[in-house]
Amino acid sequence: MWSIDHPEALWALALAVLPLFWHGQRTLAHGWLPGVPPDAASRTLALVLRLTGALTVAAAVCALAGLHRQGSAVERVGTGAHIVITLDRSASMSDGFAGRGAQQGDEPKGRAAARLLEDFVAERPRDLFGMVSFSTAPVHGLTLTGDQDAVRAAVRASAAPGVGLTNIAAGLTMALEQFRDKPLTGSRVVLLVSDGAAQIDARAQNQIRRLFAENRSALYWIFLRTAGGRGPSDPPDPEKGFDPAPEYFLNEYFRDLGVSYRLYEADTPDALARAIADVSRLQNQPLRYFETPPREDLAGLCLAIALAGSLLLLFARSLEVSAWSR
Amino acid sequence: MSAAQSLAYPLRWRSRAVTPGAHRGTLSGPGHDFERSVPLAGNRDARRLDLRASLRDPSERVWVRLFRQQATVPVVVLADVSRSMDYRGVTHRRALMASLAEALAEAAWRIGDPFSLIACDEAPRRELALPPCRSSSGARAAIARLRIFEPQGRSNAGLLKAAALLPQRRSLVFLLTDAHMPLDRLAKVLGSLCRHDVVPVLLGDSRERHASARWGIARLQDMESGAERLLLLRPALARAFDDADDARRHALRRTCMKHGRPPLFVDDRIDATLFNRYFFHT
Repeated sequence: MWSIDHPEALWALALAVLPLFWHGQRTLAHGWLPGVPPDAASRTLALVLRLTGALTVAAAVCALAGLHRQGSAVERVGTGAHIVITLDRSASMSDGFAGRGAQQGDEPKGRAAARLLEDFVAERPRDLFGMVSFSTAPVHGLTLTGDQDAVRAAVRASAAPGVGLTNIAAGLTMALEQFRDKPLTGSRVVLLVSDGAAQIDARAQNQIRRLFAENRSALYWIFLRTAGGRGPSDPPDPEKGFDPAPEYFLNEYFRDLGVSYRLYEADTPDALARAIADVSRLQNQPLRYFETPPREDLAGLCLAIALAGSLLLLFARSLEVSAWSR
Repeated sequence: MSAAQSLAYPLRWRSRAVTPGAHRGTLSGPGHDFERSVPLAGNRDARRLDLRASLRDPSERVWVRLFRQQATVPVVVLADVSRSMDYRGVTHRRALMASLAEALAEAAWRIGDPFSLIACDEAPRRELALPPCRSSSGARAAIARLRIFEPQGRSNAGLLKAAALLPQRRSLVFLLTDAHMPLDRLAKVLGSLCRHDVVPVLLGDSRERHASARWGIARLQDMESGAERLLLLRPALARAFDDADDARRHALRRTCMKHGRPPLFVDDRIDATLFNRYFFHT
């Protein structure tokens, strides 16, 4: 889309007509022009000089008027993803996995997650990563950045034993805030790694739903099951009396968000690795999106055209002969 | 001017003029142009006795020679004074034309031919016209008027109307023009003057006829129509100019030859030798 800053300057475009009618060259008297042999090159040159004059004036006027191009949305295909790693730092992350064969002294969940996430980060040099940890309160780790060293350091740091409870709502909110006012140049992913869930009250639910809709982010939930704990896919058993089953309801809530959502339940470090590999594969798919390119100022180009035309005319002027001679 | 003063225009045809002059005439009279021998009978002049014919006659009559009287030929300079005659190249064409007219007037005065001048642009210019006149001062005045005349005419179409202004008798007409007109107009002018002996004197200018072979840009303006043309001067265009000039001269020669005489090209200056040789050849 072409547009201009000062439309009133376009009145001067009428001046561009002048070179078509008025050549401004000195004329040499000749007795009889019909006797001059016809010459195609000369006719072409005359036409070119006139058009150059008109073009020069028009380009200068366009530069004065501030011609620029306001690009329309361009479809782009991106490969880089924006991933906010939202890591549970509650005390239970220091426990081992719940899978069969789990023993005392196995690698804690938090450390395994940190190790695998670090590899995940290392494999994706073109992505931007953000880092949010949460326990009772969210901790802002890193804004979205392409700095691999910083991201990996942040992931490593999260391996330290955590404290407190699991406040998923606050963590998700902060993770989604990372996307605020950032250009949408890749797919957005909130990678939620937690080993438990908590109930989210109605207000927080609405806020999270709204943030997901605004930021168009996908959600991957890697659930690290605690030994003896329940998973998101286990529906509450009415036989057992009161059972809040927050994981199940959170899963239901996430499925209802209207965004691309996947749940991975990892009982062992291997399962965690498979889940992260799956996320990695999913996010390698190209992303089609529309981007509005920034304003492209064409005044410089116009001035360059005007300068080139002026130099050409000046050269032609210098070639003009002052008198007809043999 | 010394070279120009020695112009001569011997003619091959006989003038029917009564006035004695320098050209061969048709009337009998004193002269050197032998016509025939006749018997000396009546009041013939016995001074021109033809001995050979008298001795050969078996009836022993006396024969005398008859001669033709030499006669004048009216000389008319028909001058093209359209604006293109004001071209200034190697010379000022109008000044060249005035000098040539002056030399012709001088030559005519020297041998006693009446000289008249008719100048035309879009129409005959009456203020420049000189009726047949034997006085050199009259001719000089007319040529002085021609010298200071500023041509304004956009064409030389008036030449077509000049025939009516010429003497009735067969005259020697010098058509002084730059030939910057369509060939058919030149043919019409020559055709309208067919009862006269017309010498087309075509005034050329070597600067106008050729273009520079050096690269450059020139915008030419036609002196008569005001039309303009931009030319990219270069060796190829210079060759095209030369070719066009050759073709033009060839066409002019053909047109003039159809009407009796080849053109006399006068380029840049008056060459009396070329001028006189022209009359020996035609």
